[in-house]
Amino acid sequence: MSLDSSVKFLMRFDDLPLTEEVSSKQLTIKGEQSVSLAADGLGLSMKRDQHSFVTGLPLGISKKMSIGFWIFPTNEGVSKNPANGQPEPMRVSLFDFGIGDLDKSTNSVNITRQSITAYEETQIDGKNKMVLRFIDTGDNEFTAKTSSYEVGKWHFIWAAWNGITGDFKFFLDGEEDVALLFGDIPSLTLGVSVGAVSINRTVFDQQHDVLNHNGFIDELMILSNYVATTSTIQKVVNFSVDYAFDSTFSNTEEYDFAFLFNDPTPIRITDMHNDGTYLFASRNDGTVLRGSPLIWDVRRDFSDENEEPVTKTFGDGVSFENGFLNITDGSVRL
Amino acid sequence: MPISKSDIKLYLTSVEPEIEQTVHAQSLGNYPAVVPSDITKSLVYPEATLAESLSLFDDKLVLNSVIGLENFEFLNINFEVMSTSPLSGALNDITERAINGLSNVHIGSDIARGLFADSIFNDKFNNDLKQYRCIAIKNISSETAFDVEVYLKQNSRNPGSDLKIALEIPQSDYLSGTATSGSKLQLIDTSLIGVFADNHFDDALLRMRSGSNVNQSRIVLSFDSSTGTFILDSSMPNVIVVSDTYEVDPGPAQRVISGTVSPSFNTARVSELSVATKESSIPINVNSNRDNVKDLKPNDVVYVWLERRLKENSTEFNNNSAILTLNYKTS
Repeated sequence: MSLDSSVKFLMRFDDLPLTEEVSSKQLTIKGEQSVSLAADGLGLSMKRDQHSFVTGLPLGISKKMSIGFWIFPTNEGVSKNPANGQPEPMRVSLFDFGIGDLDKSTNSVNITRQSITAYEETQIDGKNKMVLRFIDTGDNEFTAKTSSYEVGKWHFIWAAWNGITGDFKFFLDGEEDVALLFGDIPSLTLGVSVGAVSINRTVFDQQHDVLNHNGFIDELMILSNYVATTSTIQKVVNFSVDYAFDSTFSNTEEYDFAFLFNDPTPIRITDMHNDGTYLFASRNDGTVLRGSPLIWDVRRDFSDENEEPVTKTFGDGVSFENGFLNITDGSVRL
Repeated sequence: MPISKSDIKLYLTSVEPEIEQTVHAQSLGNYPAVVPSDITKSLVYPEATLAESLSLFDDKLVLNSVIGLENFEFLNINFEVMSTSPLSGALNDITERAINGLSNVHIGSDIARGLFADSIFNDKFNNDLKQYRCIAIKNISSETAFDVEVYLKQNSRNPGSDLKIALEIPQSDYLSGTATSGSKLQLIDTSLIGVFADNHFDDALLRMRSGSNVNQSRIVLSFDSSTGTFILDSSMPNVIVVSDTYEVDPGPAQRVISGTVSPSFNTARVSELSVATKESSIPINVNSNRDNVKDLKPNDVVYVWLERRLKENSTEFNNNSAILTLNYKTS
């Protein structure tokens, strides 16, 4: 593996124990200790009573970053504002990055300064929206929210931020999304040189509208660079992060070509029977064919030399030559 | 400039060169059926390009042109197969994404191929329930694809059938040069003396690129290494003279008389027939016998033999698909 130096954090959720790939640091599991991974390396099955964290990550994120991940969301409805009784989205935890360390009293991570918070908002129509919140060293907050997407299927989220130019882009399922933006795009540094991450324990205090996630997450990555080219995102989605950011594959391409065809059912004759009136032939698909034996009775193969002694001929002008029956002057009874 | 995906084309094969192959099921080897005046002819499937990107779940697509794809109802883009309403106009409805189970993100300028079943393959099988086809992979650009390997990214989705592939390399790769002398029946290029073996270019197509015979092409009957002489199968209209430029297309593949007859596999220029997964992909330098080794240089061709097999107890499966993949480096 030769990941680009801009890749600062990568969790593939392929194996246990959960280990961050760039730092090789193992994540600590809090709550339910049994960790479930989806089959075929398809990510972490998140549980409401479980979160994981790691501290001391050398993230080195300053004025640019990109973040990407796969999410398999669920939607268990919306909440009700206790003050006015109105429905409002549930905020479903996903992950947090920021400055933080281990709180020994709780034996869990204490993110003292959030930098990036990700969570979903459930919608009343059964769909969700992804929310990313950025907070810079000046406590300037910026929130981006995607369009709605369906739950119960995998989605790919990618966000790229450039604090120098003030650019921000959000991609949903590989396509640039017209994201809702709240606040000014931070131009100051995010300032996360050494940070912490908590997965499935968003820094919000527990409230009526906050819930931990119970879907799946996969290939969570953070880069210290602004990456917003569709071709790169296409590589990450269609292939993997390796094809986009591992120098081993940096000049590798794949050209794919599909063939389309209809497979018929192979038909074979499995048995035949002549009852003197009909000829029956059975097929491997269970079909039975019925035919006239008269046609078969008169079918002769004169290339078979055994036909000659049993063929009744009349006259001198009948001969068997070179596999043919020659009739020049005479007749034949079949 | 690195090679792009649009620089690689898959062509049907034909018994004669430069003749369009209009019967897909007759793609049984010999020459790539590339028509010089129109290189879109004889493609295994017609192509267009996307005008706009397509996310994982978009249900509408926009093509730059629908010419040649009118009324098609299946498209292949990257390694996804999707079904559409009959294509007409630029904007079209997608009726189902990823019918082959593989979802992709597609970006503008990605190639979209119109697929139709029972074109390259049909329902004529031999007693072993197998059939064979030969297609030509050609680099039509001036760039090189490096370290090329071929494999089946997705085999038949029907458990009752499968595909295997083998690669056949031409006896000679693409060559271009300048005549040092000649006649109407011979082209002599003394720079080739001792470079290639006798008869190295036999059966390849030689085409004049300049001079009084420009665009005339003839089959090479023989090549004499000691003199650098190509003997042609019939006369050119005019004498070939010094400084006339020429090119020799890659040599032909073997040809079978019927799609139910197996070609020869596991020979000096033909790999073994295999399921060729990504882990067991086939490099184009078959048995280390290829002039241009692992690289598909401009105008180079390699041939892919496809064996399609039905199993005895298989049942009907419509709109089955498989994905053939070239893995290569751009530098």
